[in-house]
Amino acid sequence: MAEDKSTDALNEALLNAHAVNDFSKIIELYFKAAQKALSTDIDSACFLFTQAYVYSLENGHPKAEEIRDILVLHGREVSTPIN
Amino acid sequence: MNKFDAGLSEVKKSVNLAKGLPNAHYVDPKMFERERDSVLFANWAGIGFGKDIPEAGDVMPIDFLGMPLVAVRDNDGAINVFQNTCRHRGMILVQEKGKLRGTFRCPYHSWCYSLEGKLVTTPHVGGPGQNTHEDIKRDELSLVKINTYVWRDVIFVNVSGDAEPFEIYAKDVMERWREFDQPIFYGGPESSFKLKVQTNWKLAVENYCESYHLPWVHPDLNSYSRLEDHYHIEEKGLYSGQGTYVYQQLKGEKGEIFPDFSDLSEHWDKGAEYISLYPNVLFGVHRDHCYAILLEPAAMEKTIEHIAIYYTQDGAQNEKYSALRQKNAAQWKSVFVEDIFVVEGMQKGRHGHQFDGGKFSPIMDSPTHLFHHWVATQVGGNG
Repeated sequence: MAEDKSTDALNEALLNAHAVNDFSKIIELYFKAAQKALSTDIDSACFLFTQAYVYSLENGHPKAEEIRDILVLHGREVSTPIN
Repeated sequence: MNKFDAGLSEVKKSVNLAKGLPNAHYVDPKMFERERDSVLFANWAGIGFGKDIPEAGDVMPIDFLGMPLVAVRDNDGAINVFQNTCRHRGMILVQEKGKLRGTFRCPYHSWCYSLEGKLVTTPHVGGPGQNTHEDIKRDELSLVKINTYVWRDVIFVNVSGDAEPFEIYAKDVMERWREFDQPIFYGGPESSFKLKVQTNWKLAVENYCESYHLPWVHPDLNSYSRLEDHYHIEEKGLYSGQGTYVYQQLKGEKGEIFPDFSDLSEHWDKGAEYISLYPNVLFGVHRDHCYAILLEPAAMEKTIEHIAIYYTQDGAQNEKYSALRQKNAAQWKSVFVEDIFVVEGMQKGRHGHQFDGGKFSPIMDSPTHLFHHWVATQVGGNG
């Protein structure tokens, strides 16, 4: 039940951030959620890191390389240059 | 020989014997498609201006005869043009002019591409959270790059990808205007306009090529620029147009004039030239400003003329020339508007079933005939 509440809160925060095109917030929310999931569910974590990665790429966010490297570490991405 | 090719041999005769392109080239939708491929896609056609995407990340979609393209200025300042189609499901990548802060992101499944067109990531392509798959080879899935060259701020593309390099294609005109091979600066929003004309794009080229019509269609020119002050510019298979020996600089209310481009020879003190670079870009150069007209072939009988005027850096950016820039743009617009009834009238005339392509003046129409000859060669080969 606690996990459901946490997921609901994330979803709501994401919707709010999307509503105002606050991409820094979107990246931060996905990244934090991914980090949280990392110890319990690697697939969920990498899904969330991927979401953060895509938005960081699109927005030229400085976190993009860091996120890519995390995904590479877990065998979910390759070291394709960003630029 | 099919019905389209029947009249082309007449076009390819010398100007004194030739007829103009047959009516089908102006009114038949099948010919429009054929010219799209053999004239506009197979050569170097103008599709836009660099001034419209001045900064890194600036991006604009361009519908070029139904072909979705996207032009982007990359982080090195170069302009790249791609097919505006994601390599995944064929989704249009960019719908509106704007600015990319990072990569292209397809709005459908978020495949991301760099400004150079390289596929950067393929999210969840191997399942949730797995962004790779052995059968998704990113280096084979870059955006389809269109051969591109920017000259005098015009973005030229060769869609078919098999034309000779632009530097060779346009070598002669580049050499002719080598003195003008120096930075040019867009005069700002007051220095561009567009005209929607109910005509086939070729008629705008044809009208621009010759000075024969000037005394009749532009009577104001007679006061200082008579027909005999003009000369033909003729490079078979490349470009054609006209020049004048009596260009007069525009003056402002206080007698101010635009600053000159650097180190021009004496010829340009009063010389000016107007060239149609085949297929669809019209240029004009003068000592103190220049312009380009892109002819967008919007449909068989509909053309959008996009005009942009350029100056030296001072001429373009100094506030003291602001009124003069507006006056110059207004003057050119009035000249180009005067041509509309002519190109629209010729378009209507081309529906006359008994019109045989027309009889050229052997003396006055030779630059226009060169364009007809070139189109005939592109459409029908050299035979």
